[in-house]
Amino acid sequence: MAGIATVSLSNVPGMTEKVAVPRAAFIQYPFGRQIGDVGDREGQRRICGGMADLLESAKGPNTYVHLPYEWPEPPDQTKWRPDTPAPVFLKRMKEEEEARAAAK
Amino acid sequence: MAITKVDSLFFHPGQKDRIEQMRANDPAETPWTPLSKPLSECRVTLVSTAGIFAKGDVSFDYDRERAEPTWGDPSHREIPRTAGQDDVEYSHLHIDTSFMAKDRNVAWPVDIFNDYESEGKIGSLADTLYSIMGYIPNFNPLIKRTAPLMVEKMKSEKVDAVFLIPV
Repeated sequence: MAGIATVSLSNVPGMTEKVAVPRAAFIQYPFGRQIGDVGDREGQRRICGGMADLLESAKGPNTYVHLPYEWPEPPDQTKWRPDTPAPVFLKRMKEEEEARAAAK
Repeated sequence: MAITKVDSLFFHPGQKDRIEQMRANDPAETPWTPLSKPLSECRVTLVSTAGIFAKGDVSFDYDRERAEPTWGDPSHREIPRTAGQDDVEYSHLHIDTSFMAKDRNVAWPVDIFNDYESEGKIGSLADTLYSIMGYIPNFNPLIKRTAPLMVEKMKSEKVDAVFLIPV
């Protein structure tokens, strides 16, 4: 049965290449804003356009492109983590705290 | 300065070990479906991993994730393309979804694809769009159960191409 053509975006090429996908466009933008910043429709359209170009041009699987656009803020000033850490991070923080207490 | 190679650790250096420990699939096994016609004639849909669901629909199961932090809900939600910016929840617990809540196109480009349809860049946007919640440590149910359900619905709507947008 015929499949459906896909194109993915990813800001973690190391992970996506291990998964191995038909087509992926890589972008060095933060989690939660991989297409661009709030209100930047022109910039957002560039990323969607990059995905569309790849969808049309790729000739076979594992076709990856690195989009050239740079995020305007340095990584340590770029917010992407939620204000309340995810449950698994809260769990890890608690375990590290307990390990530190046990080591004393 | 133009980026020539995207750095996987640029925003999240802490995931270095996790990436290194991942088992790599064999690229020779990567599935392939060519685009069957020009994009301007294709029906397109979107899949997000941002944990988006229509207001009034069932939430992703965060009670269980809070009780079992290494578990993540592997199910999906269908979102009508007519749902507007504020008709859905952006609920993923592992990222700051406040940017999406202000402008969904930062990671859920529905307005851009509506424009693409009007402009003729795509044939049409399908009636149904999709979201999963991307924190799924055990992804077997996603592959075995959720993905086939999404594909079945996409085929019933004659979708030709999917834009996958992880967050």
